[in-house]
Amino acid sequence: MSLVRRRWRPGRESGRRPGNGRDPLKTLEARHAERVRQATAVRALGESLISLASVLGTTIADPDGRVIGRLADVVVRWDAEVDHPPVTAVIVRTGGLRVVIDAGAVAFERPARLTLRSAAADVRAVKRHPGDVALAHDVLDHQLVDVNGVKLARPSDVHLAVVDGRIVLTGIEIGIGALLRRLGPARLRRRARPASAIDWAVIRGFSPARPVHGPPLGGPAAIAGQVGAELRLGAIAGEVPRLRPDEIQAALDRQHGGGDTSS
Amino acid sequence: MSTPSATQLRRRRRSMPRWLAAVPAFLAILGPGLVSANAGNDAGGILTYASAGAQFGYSTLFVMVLVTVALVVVQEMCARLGAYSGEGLGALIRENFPLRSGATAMVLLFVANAGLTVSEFAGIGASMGLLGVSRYVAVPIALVLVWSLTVLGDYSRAERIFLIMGLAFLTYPIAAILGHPSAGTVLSNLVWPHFVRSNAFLLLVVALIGTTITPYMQFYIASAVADKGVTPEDYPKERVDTINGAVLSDIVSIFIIIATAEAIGGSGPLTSAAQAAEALTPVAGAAATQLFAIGLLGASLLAASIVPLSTAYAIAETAGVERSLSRSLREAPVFYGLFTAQVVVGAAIALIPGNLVTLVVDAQVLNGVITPVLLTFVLILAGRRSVLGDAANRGGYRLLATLCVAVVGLLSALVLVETVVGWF
Repeated sequence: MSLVRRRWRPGRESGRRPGNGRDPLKTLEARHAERVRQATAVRALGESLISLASVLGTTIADPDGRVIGRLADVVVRWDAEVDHPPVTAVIVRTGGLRVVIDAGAVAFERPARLTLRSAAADVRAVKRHPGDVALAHDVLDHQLVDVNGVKLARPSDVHLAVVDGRIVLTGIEIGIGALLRRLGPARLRRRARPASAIDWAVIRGFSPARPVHGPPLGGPAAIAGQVGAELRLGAIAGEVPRLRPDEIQAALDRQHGGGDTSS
Repeated sequence: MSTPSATQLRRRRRSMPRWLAAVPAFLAILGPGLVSANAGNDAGGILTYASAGAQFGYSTLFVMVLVTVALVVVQEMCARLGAYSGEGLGALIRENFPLRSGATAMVLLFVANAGLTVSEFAGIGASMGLLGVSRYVAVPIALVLVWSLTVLGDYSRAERIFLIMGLAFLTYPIAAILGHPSAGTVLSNLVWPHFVRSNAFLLLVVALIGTTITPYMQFYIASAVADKGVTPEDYPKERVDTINGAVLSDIVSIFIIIATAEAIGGSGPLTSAAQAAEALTPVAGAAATQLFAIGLLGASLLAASIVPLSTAYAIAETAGVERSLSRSLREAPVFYGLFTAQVVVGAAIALIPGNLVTLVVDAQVLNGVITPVLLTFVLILAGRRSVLGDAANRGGYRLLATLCVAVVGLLSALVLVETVVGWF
């Protein structure tokens, strides 16, 4: 017996395996069917998946192909009732300045290419609005804790997905795989797999590392970007359900089908 | 026996001399600042200071005064970052700098600290050898002691133990006094620069700076301040502890230089701290040697705990997992696993005879690469209002900090070049 009991590691859940355990043949068949289903979902979701780490720093070109700057950050608007917040803007570094461009004016093309839809896109100065979360600045590499404040990991990548022409935040990826991808050559960075992500829907919001007395925070993103703001899961570490690609896909479909109007 | 009431305590304090009444208040603020600075006087540090005294007498004393200023500035910035952000340097670097530069710094820190841990256990073996105990007995006992005292219990208990280990440093002033140094000569060398025109002197000065300001001290102080739960409101006290710790530890270093300068000054460089202790016998007596050995033992024990702890804090913070001396083994397996692996491997290598020890100990030269990078990170973080708010470096202090970081960083890199060139 090991000295330290095996603990839950987010993103590495083994989960309950299909099959009744009594009939080996049926168990094997059930497991095979489950693997096929997951692989199909991974492929389906993977087609529309964008890894934040792979697109940060890539050039943005205008419709004529002229480079206007590099992607510095992606902004989502996170309200309590939205499970998968929509991307509202991108922050672009251009000639030593950082400017904001509306997400609607930018086309994300796989694997990692951004172009402006129109040369007349609206460009503004960077300003944080209530509910704004700058994914590279506020989420990537920041502390992830469970509902009790137990430190779990730091997101090494953030997954976005294109759903019917709109880009939404689907989840975060943790673990050594995502880290190595970012440390390695650029080609590796594009190989993000939805299977290893934690669904954004299980994240409750940003909370301060030290307890703060006073009125409750307004909304999940109220303290996003502040020093010591931690991403808090809505459950204790051991009780976060296993997140499967098909479930994320179903959640995205539900959200889209439900007529989300939060943007 | 009944406990004295508050009024009785006040009366008792009034009847005491004022300096004695201030002792409890002074002891209460001792903490991460003193522990991390004391850990800087480790086996390698003692060898460098003893070598300085043995080779150039009192001539390097003025350098120690300048180094103390730089040490105070660097340690204070790290403690402030820990108190205001509630995070150690590992976490702050991951959140604020490119992943590749942070990861490179962590890998180098891991390797350099592994080398240092071996040298600390070798120091324990050598000092116990001087006291007549075989290293094959002393090192395993020290390993169990270091592991259990650090891992079992909470932060405040571990800190008390580290502070007690630091008491061993009191042996150096006594060893220095046994050599009957001339107060006038010491004072004039402290205040007035005495240059010796030789490459060896220059390299030794550089080595003194490199051994006094080492990355593990900066990682440890920031993490320990955060782990202790020091808040911005508590920071003024913590700053006193940090400044006090840096000054006291450098006073100890100065006494080591004085002890060897008076007894064996001009005899040439030393190869080990134990050799310095042995050299004291004919001049200052066997008591001086034993005091030197006890000091080396305490220093090595303390650093054998602090160096691996700083690695564990830094890597666990970078990964984002639980890291606290107040957590149990089960709650923080990565943190304690890293600490355990380093002390076990460090002690095992220190027991192997042959070149392996030298090879691993040589790995600490990587500190020459980490120091400039780390100090630049610290300087940038301490100057950012987005991290420290109104407590960010400003005006003259920013200038002083930049100067200290530039000089120390450059000289640390020089130590690396000198050492690597020396291998060929």
